[in-house]
Amino acid sequence: MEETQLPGQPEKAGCANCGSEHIVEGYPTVLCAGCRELFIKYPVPLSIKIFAGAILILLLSSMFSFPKHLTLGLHLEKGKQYEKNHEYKAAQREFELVAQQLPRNVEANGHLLIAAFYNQDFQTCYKASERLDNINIEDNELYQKMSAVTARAGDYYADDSLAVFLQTMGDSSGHIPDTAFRTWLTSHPHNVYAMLSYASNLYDEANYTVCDSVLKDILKFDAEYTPALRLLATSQREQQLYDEAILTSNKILIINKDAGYAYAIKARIYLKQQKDALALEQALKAVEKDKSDPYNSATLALAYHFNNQPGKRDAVIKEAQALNDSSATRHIQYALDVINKKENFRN
Amino acid sequence: MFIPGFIINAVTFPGVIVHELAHQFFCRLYKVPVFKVVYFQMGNPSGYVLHEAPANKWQSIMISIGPFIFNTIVAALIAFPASLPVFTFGNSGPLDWLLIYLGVSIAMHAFPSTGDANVIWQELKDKNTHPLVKIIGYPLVGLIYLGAVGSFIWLDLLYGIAVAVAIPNFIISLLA
Repeated sequence: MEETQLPGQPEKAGCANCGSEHIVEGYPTVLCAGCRELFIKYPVPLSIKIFAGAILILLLSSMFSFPKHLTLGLHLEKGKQYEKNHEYKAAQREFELVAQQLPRNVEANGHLLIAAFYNQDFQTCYKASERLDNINIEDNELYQKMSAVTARAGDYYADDSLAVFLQTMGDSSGHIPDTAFRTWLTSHPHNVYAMLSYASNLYDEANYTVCDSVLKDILKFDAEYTPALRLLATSQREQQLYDEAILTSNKILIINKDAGYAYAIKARIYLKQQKDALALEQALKAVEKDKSDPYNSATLALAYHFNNQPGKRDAVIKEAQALNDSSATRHIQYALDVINKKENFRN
Repeated sequence: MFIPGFIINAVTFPGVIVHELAHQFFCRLYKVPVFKVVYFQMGNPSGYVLHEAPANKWQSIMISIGPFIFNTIVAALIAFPASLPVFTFGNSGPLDWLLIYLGVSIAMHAFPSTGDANVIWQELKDKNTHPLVKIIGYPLVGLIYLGAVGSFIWLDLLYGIAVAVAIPNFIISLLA
C-alpha cells in the first residue's frame, strides 16, 4: 500500500508510450502531450467505480434517518450543555424530546432523571427511572449521578412513618403541635422531610428564629436541599434580613439557574424593600423560567401592582385563575388580598 | 494480540482501496502522470500507485500524505450518519454497522505507509530541496514511521475508531 515514483528515464528519441517525436519538455518521463494527458487522467477501473457507487448508495440510504438522528443528537448534546451549566429546566426540555423518540435510551433518560430531580419534577424523575428498568447502565459516571439523586429524592417525600405521624397528629387544618414534632424528631433525627415540615410549622407560627435554626440543621445534611433554602429565604425576608435573603435565593440559583421560584423570591424581597423596578425585572425572569408555577405568576401580578401597571397585573391574574388549580388559586388569592389591602405585604 | 498484516488488510480492504484512490486523486490534482495502480492485492504491499516523480517537492509530499487527509475525510463522512444510532442512541441496524465498519476500515488506512515515507525521504535527501520543506518533511517521515510502529499496538485501529466516533461527536458538540 504505497505510491511509487518512477525514476527519470534516459532520454529517448520519442514518447515512451507512443513513440511520437512531439514530446513535452521539462518532465522526467518522456511523453508527448497526448500521452501525458492520458496518464494524468489514468482511468479508475469499473470495479472500483462500482465499489464507490455501492458505498455511496449505502451512505444515501442511511441519510434517510440521518436528519432525525442529527436532530436528536443535537437535543441530547444541548441538554448536556444545559445540565453542565445548571440550567435544569432547559436541560429537561431537551432530554424529554429525545426520550419521547427513544424511550429506552439510557443517556436521555438518565440525564432526564437528573434534570427532573433538580426541577423537583419527581413524576418525570420516576417515569425516566422506570423506563431504565432492567437496562444495564455502562456509563459509570452517569450511573453514580443517577444513584446519588435517586437516594436524595427520598428526602423530598414523607416516608411511611412520617405520613402516619402527620395524619394522626394533625388537626383539621393540618397543624401539628411543636412538642409533638420535637418528640417525633428525637426518634427520627435524620428525617429531612420531617425537619422541613417542622420548620414550615414554625414559619406559619412566625417563630422565625427557631425555623431558621431547623432549616440550617437540614442544610448541614444536604447543602443543596432547595426546599429548605426556599423557606429560609422567605423566613429571612419576613425578618427583614434582606441581604441574607438575597444571598440564600442566589444559593438556589447556583444549584439550578432555571429555578424560577428563586427569582420570584428575590422579586418579593425587592418589593418589600420598595425596589419595585428591580422586583418587576426579577418577577419577569421568574415567569420566563417557569410560567407553570403559580407562585411566579402571583409574584408578577404583585410586581405589576406595585409598579402601577394594573392592566398587566389583571391580565396575569386572569390567566392564572383560568388554570383552575388549587395551588394557583391559593397563590393568586394571596396576591389579590395584598392588592385589596386585606393582607399587609409591606409596611 | 498479533494478527498478520495481510489478514488485517484483507479484512479492511475498503481502506486500502480508498488509500490508493487518494494517491491517485492527488496525482490528478497536481497533473502528475500515473502509470499503474493496484488498488488491492493479497501481498505486500497490499496496493500501490506508480507515478512520475513531481518536480515540486511539496507536491511529492502531498501525494504521499494524501491518504491521511482523504481517508480521514471519507471515513468521517461515511461513519457520521451511523455513529449516532450505533454509539449514542443504541438503536442501530445492520446498515449502520456496515457504515461503521467501512468508516473504521477507511480511517485505519489513513496513515501513509513506510513506502510513502521512503518516497518523501528520497525527496528530502535531494540537495535542491528547499530547507523549509526539509524542516517539515523530516519530522513527517519520523511520524509516519512512528505510526507504522504504532500499528503493532493497534494505533491504526484506534485512529479508525476515533475518526468514526470522535469526529461525529465533535461536530455535534460544535453544532449544539
